[in-house]
Amino acid sequence: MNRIPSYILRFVLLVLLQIFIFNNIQFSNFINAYFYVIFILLLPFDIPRTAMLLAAFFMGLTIDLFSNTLGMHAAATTCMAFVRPVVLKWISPREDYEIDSLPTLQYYGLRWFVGYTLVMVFVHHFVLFFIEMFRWSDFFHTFFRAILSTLFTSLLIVLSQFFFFRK
Amino acid sequence: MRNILQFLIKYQFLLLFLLLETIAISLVIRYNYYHQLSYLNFAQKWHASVSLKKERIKQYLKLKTVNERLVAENESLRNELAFYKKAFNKQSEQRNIDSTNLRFLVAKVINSSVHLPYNYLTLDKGTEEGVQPNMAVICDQGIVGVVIAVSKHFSVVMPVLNKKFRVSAKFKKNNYFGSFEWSGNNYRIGVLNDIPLHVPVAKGDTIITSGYSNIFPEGIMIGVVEDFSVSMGTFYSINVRLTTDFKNLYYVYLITDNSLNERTTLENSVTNE
Repeated sequence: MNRIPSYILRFVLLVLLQIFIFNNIQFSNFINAYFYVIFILLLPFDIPRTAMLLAAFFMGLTIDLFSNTLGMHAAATTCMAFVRPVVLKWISPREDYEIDSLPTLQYYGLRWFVGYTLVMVFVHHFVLFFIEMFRWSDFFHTFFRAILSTLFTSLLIVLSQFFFFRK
Repeated sequence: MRNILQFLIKYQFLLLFLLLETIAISLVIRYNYYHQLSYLNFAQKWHASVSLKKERIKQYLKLKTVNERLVAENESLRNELAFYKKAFNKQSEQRNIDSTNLRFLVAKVINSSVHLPYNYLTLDKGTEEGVQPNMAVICDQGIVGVVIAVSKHFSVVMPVLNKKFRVSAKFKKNNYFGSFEWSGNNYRIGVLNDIPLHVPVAKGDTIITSGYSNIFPEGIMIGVVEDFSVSMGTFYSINVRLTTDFKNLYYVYLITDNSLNERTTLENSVTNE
C-alpha cells in the first residue's frame, strides 16, 4: 500500500518528461517517442486489473490534455493495459513470476524485458497511430511509422532501465 | 438482478475496458476537428449507402405490383392499338383480317413444362374472364400456343412445344408459307416444312404466322431461320429458332377474333357441301 505514493510521483514525473522533452523530439514528423508508457509497463504484477485499466486510462488522458490530442493516448494506453495480462502470461518465464518481483529488466533479464517492451509498446503505438490517422488507407505508411516509433520508444525504455530504475 | 450483477463482476475487466475505450474514442471524435470531420463524413456515407440499399430492396419488393400494372397497361394499349388499326383500315377501305376485331386479354402462366414431348401451360384465366377454346395465345416475344381446355377460372394451353401443335407459317419477306411444328427435343427450335426448293432461304429470315389458320391472326412472330436442309428431295426442312423463350414465360395475351365465327361458319358451309 505504501507503494502508491511512489507510483503517483512516477506518474507526475513521466508526464512532465513526456510533455516537456519527448513531445518535442520528432524525426521528420515520422518517428515519435512516447516514453511515458513505461509507467504501464512497470506497474506491479499484483495490481488489480481494473485498477490497472483506470491508471492507464488516466495516464493517457493526462498526456492528451497536455498535447491537445484528447482521447487518442487514452484509447491507446487503455488498449495496452488490456493486453498486458495476456502478454505477461504469454512470455512468462518457466517458473512463473516471483512474488514481490516487478516486471523489470533487473528481475527477468534483458531478453525478457526487451520482448515485453516491444510487444506492449507496439500495441500502444499501433492503436495510437491508427486513431491519429483515423482511416485504413495508407495502412502501410502508418504501420511502418508505428514500427519505427516502437523501436525508438523501446530503445529509450530499455536504456532507462540501465540508468534510472535500478534495483 | 443477481445474475446481472454476477455478469458485471465476472466481466468487469472487459466491460471496463470497453467503457474506457468508448469514452476515449468519443473524446477523440468530440474534441479533435479532423476526427470529427472524418467521422461525420463516414457516418454520412454510411447512412447514404444504407438508405440506397433500403430503397433498392423496397423497389424489388414493389416489382411485382409494378409488373402487374405494366402488363395491365399493355393489355389496354394493345386493345387500343387494335381499335385504331381497325378504324384506320376502315378508312382506307382495306379490310384486313389480321388486325380487325381483335381483342386482347392478359393472363398469367401458372404452370408450364418444356422438357416433355407433349408440354402444356396453365393460365389463371377461365370462362369467367371470357376465355374460350381455340383462342390464340401470344406473348411479347411471339407465338405461344392455343387454348385447348377451359374451366371457370383456369385454362390449359397447348404451346408450340407440343408434338401435336401445327400452325401455318410463312416467310415475312416473300409470303411463301408452310407448316410449322416443334422439333420435339430442343425447346428453342421448331421446324418449318413444305417450303418448295425454289424459294430462296437464308439464315436469319423471319418466320411469322400466315393467318391461314382459324386461330392465329397474321403476322405473329414465330422465329428466325437457324439452318435448313432438303428433306425427301422436294421440300426444305428449315430449323427455326423460336423467339419465345418458354422457360421464361410469365404473362401472355389471349386473342379473341370477333370475325372468326363468321369466317369459320362460312368455311364450314363450303366444306360440308
